[in-house]
Amino acid sequence: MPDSLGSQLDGKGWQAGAVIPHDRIPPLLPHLTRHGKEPPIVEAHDWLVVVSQTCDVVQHDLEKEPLVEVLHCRPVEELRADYRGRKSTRQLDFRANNETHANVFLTAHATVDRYVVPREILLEFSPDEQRHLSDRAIINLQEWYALRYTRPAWPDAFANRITRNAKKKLAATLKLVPTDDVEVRVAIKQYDQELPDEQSYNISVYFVVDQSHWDESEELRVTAYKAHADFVNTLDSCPGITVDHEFGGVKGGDEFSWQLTRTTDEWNFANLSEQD
Amino acid sequence: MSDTITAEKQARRFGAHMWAVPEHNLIPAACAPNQISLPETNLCVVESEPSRKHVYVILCNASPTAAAQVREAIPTSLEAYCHAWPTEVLLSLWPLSREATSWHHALFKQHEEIQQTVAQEVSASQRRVDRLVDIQVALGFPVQVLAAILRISRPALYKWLDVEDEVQPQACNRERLIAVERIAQEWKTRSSSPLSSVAYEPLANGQTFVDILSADTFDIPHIMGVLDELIARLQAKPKSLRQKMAEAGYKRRPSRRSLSDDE
Repeated sequence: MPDSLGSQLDGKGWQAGAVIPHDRIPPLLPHLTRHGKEPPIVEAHDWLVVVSQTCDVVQHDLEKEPLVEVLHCRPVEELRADYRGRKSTRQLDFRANNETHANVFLTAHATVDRYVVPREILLEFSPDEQRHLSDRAIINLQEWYALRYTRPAWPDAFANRITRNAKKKLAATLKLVPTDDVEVRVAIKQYDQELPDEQSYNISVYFVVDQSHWDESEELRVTAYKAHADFVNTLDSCPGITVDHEFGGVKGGDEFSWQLTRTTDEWNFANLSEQD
Repeated sequence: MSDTITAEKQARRFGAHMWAVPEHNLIPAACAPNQISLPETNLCVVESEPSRKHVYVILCNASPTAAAQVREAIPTSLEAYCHAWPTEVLLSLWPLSREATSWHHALFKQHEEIQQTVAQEVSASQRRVDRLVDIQVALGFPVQVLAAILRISRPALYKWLDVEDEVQPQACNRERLIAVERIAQEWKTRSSSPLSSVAYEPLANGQTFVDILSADTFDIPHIMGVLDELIARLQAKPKSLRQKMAEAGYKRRPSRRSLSDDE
């Protein structure tokens, strides 16, 4: 019995993060064309990357997964402040692979640079042997797309009150916080209202610390408390935003309840990206 | 450099004697009073900017003899503001030139020296924030509880926690802060866990530790005994569901969103 399509693709090395070799791109160009537009020019230093999940790429049944999603990424000189760290849900700057291409930074637009190609085309050749996105880069891309569709819809009037300078300060503060152990969550009282300028948004800010670290790591608690104070004071200084000091604070994970997760949103700069 | 200008103006206006005291020999700058008075003498303590490495003491309208008397009186006076004033170090106060024109020069020179090391120095407001954070880390109370214990409002506490805010706690608040700080330090010598996990449990007399810290005055020996009792309670606490699950092999998974923005 012949190998299934999925097994053959797996055997060739196709998976999420694989790069289509540059000399194999021309036959794909018809599939990379937006309606009424010329096909894009894919330069030799561009990366045309498979972004479908690996399990979909190697799915046995072609009818169940007839297409593979690819992303046209272009190199940039450095990670730009507005596009790094999934701050924008439209454009992402990211590291390609710190181990094999430490100085390569790529950028892509979430929709303009995203295409689908017939999966069976990939049977005709193998991925680029020299280039492959790192696991972290793939997670970064997947989380970026997830954020794009799942981020909370904060009011534009709220997002617009967080000044560019304040965003920079908030980003600098969060850089000091180990994000795997501390989660920043924000409750917005008027989360579903576009308020006029003369009315303030009331918010509460929680830094939730992994309980085992909360119990044992004074160092992490110091970091969390300092960052929380800076974060709150920065938001409080934004015109039209009032931090409700009765609530919020730094909490251990055991204390921060499921109920509170439903009253708060995880902080993410992407939530403010409507103003970009 | 605004304090230099203030000092110069005051020096010229009053014809003051001035001493400079290395601050690391004295008191935390956050505790230093802006203005104090000795009997029948005008005295002004000016903290230097930007590093607050030194505290300048300007003595107005005093003869050298009177100055020497005041110099000896300073420790007693300042003790009202800070319990940690080291008398023996204060006696190393050194007089600068008595000519008004050279005071500014001397001050300016001091500032130049200070500025050379400013990058390595922690500002007074930063130290104030550090002290408060140390209290928060040890006690683990929510802001509203800590504010109540310190007898200040929540917004005031957030101001104290703002490193960019030059707010100076009032004398009564400073005393309270120092006392709470001492209790926090005592707890830290006993446990690395926040005290809050046992602070709301009723003690033998029915009070909670939060009740004790909310009292007008602190009975320090009694509080030390209570801390020992709380340590025993902390150690006897049953395991949480999370701890039991972790022991059974259920581990927290890393967050996929935890990539740094450098990725």
